[in-house]
Amino acid sequence: MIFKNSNFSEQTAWISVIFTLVIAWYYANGITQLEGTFASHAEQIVALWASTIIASIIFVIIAFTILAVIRKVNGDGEDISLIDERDELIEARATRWAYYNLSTCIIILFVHIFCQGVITNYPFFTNVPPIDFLIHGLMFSGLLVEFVLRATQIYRYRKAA
Amino acid sequence: MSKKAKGVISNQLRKKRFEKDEMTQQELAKAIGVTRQTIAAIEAGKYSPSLEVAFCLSDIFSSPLDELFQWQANDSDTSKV
Repeated sequence: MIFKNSNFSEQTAWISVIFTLVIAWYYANGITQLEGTFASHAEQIVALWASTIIASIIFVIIAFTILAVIRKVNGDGEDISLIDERDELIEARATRWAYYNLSTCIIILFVHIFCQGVITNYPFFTNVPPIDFLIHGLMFSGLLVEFVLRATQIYRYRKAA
Repeated sequence: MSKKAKGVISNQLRKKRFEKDEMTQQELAKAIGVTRQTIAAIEAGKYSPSLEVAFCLSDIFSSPLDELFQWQANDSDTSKV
């Protein structure tokens, strides 16, 4: 089993990958239920943020409780605060990939908003105002960056370094 | 002009552990302050430890570094400058 042959950092990375997928699904589902734009229905979007934060907290509590139970059942008494040089190296490499990704997302968001402002008959997301695109785009970019960071970590752990 | 080192690092960690009263990976990891998975990765040749960890290992097994770790250069790669 993957969890039995992994340290706490890798187990946390697995939880984070699942977390980003669940929260991205939750937030996307919430967006489809919005009835207006940020300019006219700001309270709906703020409520969606609040419910997303609450869902995140509930998910994290449940996931780490399950992890603690699994570790106890497996008799894994390793110090969870122990982060060694290999963990730091893997995190540094993964962070580099994640921030390439973040830079790309931000460039795409601003190029889209610029094009929407200057090009007539711009074909993409014509019914989404720039501020809404920016707000939701930043949210998804954050989740994507976290996903890339943790998925890269898992890949490196599985590859061994 | 730079020369990029290319080669394979092998090690005798597993052998040394068994020679030292069949020390477990967990015991060795605890002794040098790394995780058991890191020891497993070093033994499998998938991770090269830092000099600090290498010297700690050398100290624990009372062996010189070149007895614990061996470097086999890939001549075709090192000749490229």
